[in-house]
Parts: sequence; structure tokens; C-alpha cells
Amino acid sequence: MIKGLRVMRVLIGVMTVAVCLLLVWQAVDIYRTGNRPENFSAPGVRIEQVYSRQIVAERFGRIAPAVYAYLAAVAAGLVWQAAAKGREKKPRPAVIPPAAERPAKYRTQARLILAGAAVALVVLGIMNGGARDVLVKAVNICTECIGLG
Amino acid sequence: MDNVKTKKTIKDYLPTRRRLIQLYAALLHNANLKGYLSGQIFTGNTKYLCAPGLNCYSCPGAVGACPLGALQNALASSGNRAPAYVLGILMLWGLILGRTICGYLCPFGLVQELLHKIPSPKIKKSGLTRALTWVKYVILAVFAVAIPLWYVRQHIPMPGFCKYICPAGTFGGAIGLLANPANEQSLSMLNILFTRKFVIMAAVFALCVFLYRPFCRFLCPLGAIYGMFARVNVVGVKVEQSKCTGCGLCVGSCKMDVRRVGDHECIHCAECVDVCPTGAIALRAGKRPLREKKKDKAPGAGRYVAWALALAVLLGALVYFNGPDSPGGAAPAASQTVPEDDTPVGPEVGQRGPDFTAPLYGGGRFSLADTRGKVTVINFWATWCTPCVNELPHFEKLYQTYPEDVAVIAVHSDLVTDDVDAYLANFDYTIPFALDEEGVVAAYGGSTMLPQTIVLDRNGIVTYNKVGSVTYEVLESLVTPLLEE
Repeated sequence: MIKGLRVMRVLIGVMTVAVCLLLVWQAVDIYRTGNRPENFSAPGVRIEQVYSRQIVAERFGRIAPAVYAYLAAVAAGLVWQAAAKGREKKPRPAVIPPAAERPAKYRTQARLILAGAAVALVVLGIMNGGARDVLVKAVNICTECIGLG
Repeated sequence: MDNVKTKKTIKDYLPTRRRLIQLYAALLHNANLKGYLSGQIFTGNTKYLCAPGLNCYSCPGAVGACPLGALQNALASSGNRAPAYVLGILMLWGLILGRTICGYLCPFGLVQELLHKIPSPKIKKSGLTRALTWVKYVILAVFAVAIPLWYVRQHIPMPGFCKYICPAGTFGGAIGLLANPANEQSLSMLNILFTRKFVIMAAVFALCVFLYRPFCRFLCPLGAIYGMFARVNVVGVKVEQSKCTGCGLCVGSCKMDVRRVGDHECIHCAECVDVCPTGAIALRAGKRPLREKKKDKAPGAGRYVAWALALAVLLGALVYFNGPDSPGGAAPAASQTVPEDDTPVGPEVGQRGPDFTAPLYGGGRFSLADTRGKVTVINFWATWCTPCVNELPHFEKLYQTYPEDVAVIAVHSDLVTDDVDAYLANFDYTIPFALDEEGVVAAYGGSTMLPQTIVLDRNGIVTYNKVGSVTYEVLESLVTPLLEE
């Protein structure tokens, strides 16, 4: 059973890499197809957009069976692993001598100074409009910042 | 058969206390559950506060600001004001919790740990992984600090880490929004930027299956910042030197690349507490122990009170953020019909663009009615929006190319953080710039996404209305057919 568990782990590891590569391949291929010269009516003007719900559904639909098979294998693997919990011999942890602890001199004083500086910075930030900057950025979506474009 | 246990109890399958805290924190970070249904982000005042963990503020569920995104934007605005607020908040989080945040509170840390549960061969830490931990400091210095500061000189807000790397933003922000059919229009914006970030996200997720927390260990600039407080943070695992024998079991059993317990790589998960043969290690808040080596005694009443309080806070947050009166995104303007014309007024293509007036920077007032007879291009922008400021030259070129036939107006969002007049003084733009004082963005169906471009024909009918960057070629292709009508 333990040997089978190891084989299963290797298989799922290989499947993980394969599924990841499939997803990446589809995304890159969608991008390449959308940027082919025949998709441009004029320089910079596309006939069809690069990504659309239809394109994504079609492309990822092709690899869906592989993804479902992977998810099923992961679920089965997790159940198997849970069933075998405790039967596997845990590897003995390596003994790595820890680096020497440096003496914590003036820790309390450092904490107090840092806390005072932090509170002062927060108050200064509220007064100079920095807090409002945070809000404004957080309640609006900058499309480029999250990778939309 | 050392360490082999055959008798199992239900306790062996229950989540650990740390896992429960992680789930709790992830839910609290993303308590705006109705955002996942509506596809809109939360716009309430709790976003004044930077959350402790890495959680993209463009995620539909996020109720706080991402500290790393806020830091980059604060640095990008440092030409106008010192980034004091975000630095202060980061110092407070670092001082109180440090990398305990990574171990207990960060939602992206939880995602990585759950992915690591997938059965697969696991790669153990080594000299190589230890060396790679320094990469996150390089990323912090280059992408989160140097790039935003470099672009300040060019008056372009540029959050380098968010734009080029952050897989949490791609996962929570971009995919979180795009998965909702209400944001289908946003798919038209996707191009190289999304493809590149999708590849990075997929690679990080795949690595998580084989390696323990690769993003935290090698890439996360927030972890790098919190790690700087390792020697002073109040809550964390501490070693009682008088009990320590220096056996090295703690460092050997740790999945992070620590060299000693509690150093800048330690996420204070406290798994070493049970490994220590002498009970020298404990998770402490100051001197008060939060977790010590397992003792055969029942948990005290204090723990139940703490959990009850935590649950009450979570329930309160869920009710507050998901109640009917909670702030959401701006509702799209309803169509109206003007009596003298059958064309409905509204932001959709084919509808008549709602009339508006707006104060112009530099003086005067812009009125949309005055542009009738010309093709009109309306651009919604803001000084703090990178793609917005990058595309302004295209609108200027269009305005210069068709001065008689095309009217262009750039309307700044009503959320102003900088002196827009001072910002515009850095350029030689001749297009009129106005301020959205009366809800122009909302009237044209805009909400929380910038930039947005609207094109009206000579009769004021909307022919194009989309969120996302445009190039000069796109603008010309939109305008030229209308000029020939």
C-alpha cells in the first residue's frame, strides 16, 4: 500500500505539470491567435478581440477532460492519503544545528521607538491625505494593475 | 517501525487550530461575499485600512486595502506627498505580528498550503532554496520600490509588482472579476499583460504542489518587509535559551528556510513547538504563551471565549458587508427618454449619450451639448491610473489631427488625490480636461474601472463605450467611419 501511495504521488505530480502546461499552452495560443496579422484590419486595430467568453470556453473546453481527470485523480489521491495516514513511516527530521541566537539587547526600547514612529507616520499620513490615497486606489480598479490591460 | 501509528481517531482528520485561523482570516479579508455575485468590488470606508495579508483590493470580496499595492501607489505618489500612512501601517503590522501574518492570516499563504496538500513528491529545502529566499528582497527593491519611484519622474503611477508579477492579483482580482458574467465586457481588454501574468500564476500554483509555500519563500515582497521585523515583533515563536540544547530538531523539521527559530524566514507556524524535546519553544505574545508543547490538560475556558468572540466578529462583518445597505459599486445609470426624440438616453451603444456639463481645469465649463455636430470622444481618466495617463497622448494626437470635426474631452474621476492642474502643467496637452463633479462616469455606465472611452457620433448617439486602454489606431478606426457619415 505504501509503495502504491508513492507511485500515485509521482503520477499526480506528472499530471500536475501536464495540466499546468496545457493551461499555459491554451492561454499563450489564444494570445498568439489574437495577434496574428490576419486579425488586424489596420495597424493596431483588431477584427476579433484576443480573449472572449466564446474563445475561452472553446479553448479550455478542449482540455476540460484532462482537467477533470486530474481533479478526480487528486480527489482519489487525497482520500487514499488520508486512509494511509499514520501507516507511513515519517522521515526523521534532519538535524540542522541552529544559527546562534544573537543577544536581544535593547529590544523593548527598539519596540517602543518603532511603535512611536509608526503611530507618528500614520497620523502624518492621515493629515497629508495619504490615507485617502489608499482608499481611492482600493475602491477603483486600475485595469493594468491586475493584469487586465 | 518508529513513528508509525495505526490507530486513528477522528481528531487526526480535523483541521488544526492554525488552519482554522487561516480560514477565518481569509474569510474576514474577503467578507464582501455579495461582490462575488455582483462582480463589483467593495467601495466602503474599511478600505482606508491596509489589511495585514496579501489580498488584492480589486478582488470582489476584499474589504480592506492590500498593503503591498498601497505601498507601491504611495511611492508612486511620493512626488506629491510622503508615503507616511502606508509605511506607518506596515510598521505597526510588522512590529505587532511580523511574519506571524504569513503563517496565520495571509489568504494567499492559505492557498499555497492547500495546494501543497495535493499528493505529489515534495521537494525538500536545501542550500539552493535557502539562496533563493534572497530573491524576494530583490523583487521588493526593484518591483515594489524602484520601479514606482523611477516612474514618478515621468508622472506615471506604476505599481511594478502588481503589474508584472503578483499572482494574488491575477487570481483574486483579474480572474475573480472576469469569472462573473457581469464583467464579460472586460474580456476585450485582455492581451499580453494578462497572458504573461496568467503564466506566472500557473507556474506559482504548480510549484506550490511540489514545494512548500514557494511564493512566500522566494517571491513575496510583503513577507520580505515583515521579515525585517523578526527581531522585534511581539507575537511569534520564541526560544527559551535556558532550556535549549541546540539539538537542531526545530530547524531540521521546519519546512521554511530558517537558520534558527524566529528568524526572518520563520512564519511562526509553531510546528516546531511539538518537535522540541525540551519544550524550549513556544508561540508567545510578548511574554504570554499562546501555544506551548502539548500538555495533558483540557483547554481552558479562555480559548472558548476567544473563539466565541472571533466568531461574533466574523458574523458581524458578514452581516455588515453583505447587508442591503452596504456600499457596493456604482449602479449603472437607468435609461431615460427625452420627449422630443424617440432615442432612449443612456450609456449603451445606439442610445443617446446623456448630456452633461463639467468644470474645466484652467477655468470655464464644458457642455456636451456644445459639441453636437462633431464626433465626440469622451475619456474617463485619473492621475493615479497608469493606463489612463499612458493613453492621454493618443487622445491629444486625435484632437490635433481632426481639430474641426472631432471634439475630445478628458474627464477626471471625482476621486482626486493629486493636484490635477499641477499634473497637467507637466505636459503640453491642448485637449480640454474636466472634473467629474456631477456623476458623468456613472451616467455613462462607468463604475470602478478606468480608463473608459466613449465615442458619440455627430448626433450624440453612443457608438462605442468600453473600459480599457486604447491606442491611437483604435481611436482613429472608431472615429473615421463616423466622419464620413
